[in-house]
Amino acid sequence: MSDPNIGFIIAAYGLGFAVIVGMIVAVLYDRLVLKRALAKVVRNGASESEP
Amino acid sequence: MWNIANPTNFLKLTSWLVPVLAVLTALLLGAGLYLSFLAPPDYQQGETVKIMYLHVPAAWMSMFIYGVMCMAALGTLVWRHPLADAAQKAAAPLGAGFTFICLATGSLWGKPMWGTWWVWDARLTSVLVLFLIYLGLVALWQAIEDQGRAARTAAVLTLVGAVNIPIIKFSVDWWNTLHQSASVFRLGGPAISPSLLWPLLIMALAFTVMFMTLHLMAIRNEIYRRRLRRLSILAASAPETDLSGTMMEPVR
Repeated sequence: MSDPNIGFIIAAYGLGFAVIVGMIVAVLYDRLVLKRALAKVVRNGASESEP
Repeated sequence: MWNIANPTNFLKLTSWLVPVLAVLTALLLGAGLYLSFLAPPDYQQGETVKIMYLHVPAAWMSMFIYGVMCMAALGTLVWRHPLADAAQKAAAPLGAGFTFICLATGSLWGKPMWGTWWVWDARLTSVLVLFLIYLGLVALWQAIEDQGRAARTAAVLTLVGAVNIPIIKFSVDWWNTLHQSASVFRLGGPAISPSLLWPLLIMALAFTVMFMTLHLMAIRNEIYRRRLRRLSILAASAPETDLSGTMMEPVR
């Protein structure tokens, strides 16, 4: 591919996939943080069956 | 639909559905990218047309996700579905992400083809407004502490903002715009060659399945967040419970 606009094409795909990877990482990181926090609360004695 | 309103049932569903959708996303994205790079260059734009395979599916997703949010808003306000507000909250950042991809790749496509990064024409401006609405909704969820009130307020704002969707779609017909008119979803069928159309449709399908995967994961996170909040309140309301390894003294 020897297009004069190759830089724009690469930038568009690079930026697009960076945003997609960012969204995936954000969702996975959120899950990790929440699961850890939940495990900590449960470990400390709280349970949903409590009144 | 009401069966998955139960968070336990929803978590059970996502435990097998998310991996299946993730694999399907990877396969479709791989096939779409492969076919996109094999697709012939455009007779006017040359290889720069390859930006279309990212820009157009992202543009479709930005409107599709708003449609999903409108359904979720109706679910919150009309049908009172217990997970509708979670679906609405989870979709807003994803909608903002896809809209940003649309705007950024459009700008990178516009510079070599139009000679400018940006013009204030009706299509570009209305998509920018959509992006700002998404950001506004994300901020709204963060700003209101009472989640029930946040859900109702966000639902109303989402439905009011829906007026922008037909404006985006028909802006190229209603006003003179630098942006081209519709070439796929139009009366008389698609105006682009099948050799360019098929990779585009496969990329669009890949983006749709990717959104479904991320959306289900984000709703699941929202269920965990609510569970964490409930447990934290329970723990806080029982001060005599040992929560951090040391006995907490009750306040006198």
